[in-house]
Amino acid sequence: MYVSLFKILLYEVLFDEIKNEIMNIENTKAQMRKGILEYCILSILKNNDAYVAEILVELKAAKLIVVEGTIYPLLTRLKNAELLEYRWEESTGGPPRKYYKLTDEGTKFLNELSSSWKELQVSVKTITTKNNQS
Amino acid sequence: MNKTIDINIASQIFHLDENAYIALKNYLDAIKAYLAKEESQEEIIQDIEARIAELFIERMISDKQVINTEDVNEIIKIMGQPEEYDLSDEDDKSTKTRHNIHKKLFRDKKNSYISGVSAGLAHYMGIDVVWVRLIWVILTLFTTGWFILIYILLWILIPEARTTAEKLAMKGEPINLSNIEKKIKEGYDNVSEKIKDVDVKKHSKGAQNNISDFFSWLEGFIITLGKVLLKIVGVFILIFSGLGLLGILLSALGIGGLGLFGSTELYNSTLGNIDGIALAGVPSWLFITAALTAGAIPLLLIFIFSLKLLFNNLKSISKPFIITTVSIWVISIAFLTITGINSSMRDFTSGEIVDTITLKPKDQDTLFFKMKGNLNYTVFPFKQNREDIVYDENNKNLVLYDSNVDVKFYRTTDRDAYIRIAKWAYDYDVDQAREKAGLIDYEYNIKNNQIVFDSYFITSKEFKDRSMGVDLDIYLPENTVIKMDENMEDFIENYFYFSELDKPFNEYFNLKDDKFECVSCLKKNDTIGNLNE
Repeated sequence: MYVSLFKILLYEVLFDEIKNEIMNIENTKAQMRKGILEYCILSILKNNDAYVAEILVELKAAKLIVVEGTIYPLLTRLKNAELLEYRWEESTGGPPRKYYKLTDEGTKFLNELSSSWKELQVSVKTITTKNNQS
Repeated sequence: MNKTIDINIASQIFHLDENAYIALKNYLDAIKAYLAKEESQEEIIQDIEARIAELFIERMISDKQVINTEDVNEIIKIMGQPEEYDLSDEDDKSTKTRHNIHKKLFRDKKNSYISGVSAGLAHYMGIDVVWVRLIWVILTLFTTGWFILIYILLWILIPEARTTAEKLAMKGEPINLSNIEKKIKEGYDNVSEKIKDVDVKKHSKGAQNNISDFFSWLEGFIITLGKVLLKIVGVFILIFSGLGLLGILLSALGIGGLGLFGSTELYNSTLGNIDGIALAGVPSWLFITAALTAGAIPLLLIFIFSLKLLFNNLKSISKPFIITTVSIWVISIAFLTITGINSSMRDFTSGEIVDTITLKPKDQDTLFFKMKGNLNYTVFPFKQNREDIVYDENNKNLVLYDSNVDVKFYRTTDRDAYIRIAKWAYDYDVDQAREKAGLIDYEYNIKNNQIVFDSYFITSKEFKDRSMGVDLDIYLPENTVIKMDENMEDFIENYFYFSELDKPFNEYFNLKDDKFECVSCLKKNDTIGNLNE
């Protein structure tokens, strides 16, 4: 116990400040990744409703997420923002599943995101190809 | 062989072996702790649990019945550590500050320059310590230094964060097992990095350390100084209370007030004669014991207190002891108060025994007044208000010699001159006072026109220090001529009749119009007058 406490103290003394600095960079990255992830989740749900495992399969296949835990807070937030809604469905030999569905608001938001994503893609492409050429 | 535990996740029952259970529990607790600031914490955890249940079911396909640690670790790997969820964004920060209500104010000695007050305040307010320090400097400059006093006050009042719990409370993190566990886990993960970084960290902290080293030295110095001063004060209190106690003990021995030392003779001669006490129906020894106790108990407590002040490791005084001593003290004080009130309520009255002697001198006869002293009793026979315990004339018994004899002259419209000789004493009632006055043995001698008073009286030795005396009031009609011996000087109380001379002795005086005119000294005055011319 005392060894553990000592470790905590050591950690607090040595790493609080460094951690804060790293967090700032990490924060930007996380923001980017989160935005893209949200866009992808909404896209997956555009054509058909899905439950978490199905969404996860697609995201994992695209190598967009590493750990599954990431998705749950995101889904809850999208739901709280009323971009998503869900219904319960029984499953064979397992717990009931939450099937997520885009709301009207969500569809509108997805369309906006799509167009701005396309614009962004064009802009990024222009700049990167131009710089790559020179 | 392993014990299995049945758990219920998302309404599904699973059999886990003990280690798997512990691993899963820790994992879920860590997630809970991580999501503590999340609004929909419950819902997210339910979703995660549902997913874990699904993953468990996937692993139960074959004949497998029990989930083991490997399975749990695999699932944790799939789900990821909560730190990998990447929740750090603006939303997160705003919820963080919202949860700061639970923070407590401590001094953060770890990040301190001086005392950690600023660092503690910074944690409390959720801002960077630099701003707090800057505010201190600015406020101090603007108030010409007055804020330093407030700083010192905070230094004294705010406790230092010493335990892990206090440190967590200081930073507003919830103090629960999973949080501490999380800290430990983080500690493990970063241990190797920590050691790598130690040197860099040390150097960057060097300047800060020098300053804070000085101030922690100063803090220690002031505390030590305070302790030393306290000890010195303790020594003084010890000495004075000790001396006081010793004094009381000695007087108790001397007076025998406690009754243990029995010498009634001694207390009769001193405190036993306190007016009123013996007469209020209270035995003297009781009164004296109460008085000494009332004085001794506070001194005793102060004495013990100062001992405790000097020797920290002294056993504390037991409560019953304190209660007993304080009770005794209260009783003593109450007793003394009641006795005091009782005896002061009784009025003293005087009682007199009077002789009146009419003088019938022949016309034109001069009255000669004189005092008679007794050198057997004193070497100062003509001094008033002297008291002594002496042997009587037969050298047998001890008696009280007292020269409280007052002589006063009055004018009377009666034909004859007379002398009123009053022996007086005081007591609580007239009869007792008269009885006491009757014990006064006073003599005088009047032969024709020669009047001789004793300059003293003799009475029982037990009346020492009591007020009693003899008044000689001499009433004279107009045109009486008197001559006083100079040994009366000390006993005459009213000189106002004799306005002409400083010392109206051994001269002839005639009472005329409320005044004594010097008959014999007129000539002298003339002579002086002649000489002056």
